Amino acid sequence: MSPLALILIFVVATAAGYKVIRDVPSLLHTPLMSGMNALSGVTILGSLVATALAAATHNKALGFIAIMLATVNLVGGFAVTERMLKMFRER
Amino acid sequence: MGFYEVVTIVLAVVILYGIKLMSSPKTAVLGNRLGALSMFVSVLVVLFYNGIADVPVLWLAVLLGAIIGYLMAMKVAMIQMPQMVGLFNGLGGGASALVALVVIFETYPEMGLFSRFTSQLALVVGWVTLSGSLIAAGKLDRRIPQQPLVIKGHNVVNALCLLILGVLVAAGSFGSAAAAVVVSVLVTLLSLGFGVLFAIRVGGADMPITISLLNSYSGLAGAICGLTIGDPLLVSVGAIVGAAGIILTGIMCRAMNRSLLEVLNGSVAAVNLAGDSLLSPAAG
Repeated sequence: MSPLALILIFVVATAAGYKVIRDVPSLLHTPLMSGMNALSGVTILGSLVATALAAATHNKALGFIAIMLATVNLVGGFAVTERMLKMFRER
Repeated sequence: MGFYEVVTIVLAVVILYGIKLMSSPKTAVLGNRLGALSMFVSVLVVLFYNGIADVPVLWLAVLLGAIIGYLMAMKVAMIQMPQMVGLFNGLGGGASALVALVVIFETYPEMGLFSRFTSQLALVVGWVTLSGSLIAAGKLDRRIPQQPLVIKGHNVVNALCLLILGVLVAAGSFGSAAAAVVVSVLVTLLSLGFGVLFAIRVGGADMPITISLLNSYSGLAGAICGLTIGDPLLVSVGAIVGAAGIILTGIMCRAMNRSLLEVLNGSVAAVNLAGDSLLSPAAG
């Protein structure tokens, strides 16, 4: 993809992200932040490709760690958010 | 437009919808699950689309990460949730920085100027997110003193750090491959240091806001990483998280009656009425 197209995607997605959160009740600040924290594990997509393409062993090792960290971020993030939200529902 | 671009648009819209659902109590659980599902689908799409689904090492890393993440999430006490979120967030930032390192080490000679520049930028934002989040989590967990730690000439040191980082990023964009390796290591060390300087001066009561800001950074780091490797899905989801995180940070500042500048300067909160929702979710 050309840099220009990528920057365009970046701008459009930023605008969409801006639009989507409005008047969040303060009760939900924590779980919403936690949910978005989980989404930031999206970098796993980059780490998978980079690791698969890496030729040198030390780069493969760095990539392996990157995949692990991103997955911890994703799985842990969503699980923690689920636990928080369950607590809200039980009350 | 190819298959991957169409999938990107669909997944980005679903994720936006999930975030939207998460801003209302009734639909928040569904929103979270929708986010998790779209991430799962994204991983599968990337694995199969790039023809790397048969590389066992990838699955092993994902499996290990998933087990560790799940166990951490299940074992943590409710009261410790905020620092756990901070910790997870830092790991995501670190992952983005590591990806940038691998890409620089492996492919620097073939990279264009745009990729070289964005890869250095991803290093900065990713490492700052990691070390800043670790400090924030440590403060919330009371492993580090909660009061703001302001060193002599803090502002000057911070500005100097950023200035040197700017020069290094430029050097990493225009230099030779050998120079890029050295520059990347320097950028790594300096960015990790800057993250500490940035988070250490924030008081414990303001930490939720800092974690929200760092959360936005980790999304941004992912998006910049996506710019480097040319992955539209990574760019769009990262940008959505980055922007939504900034908005949420602003909303939280208003709820706590604080300005972001006050928070980052480490001035002590005078009024703190509504903002302790994150510090005490169990009581929220």
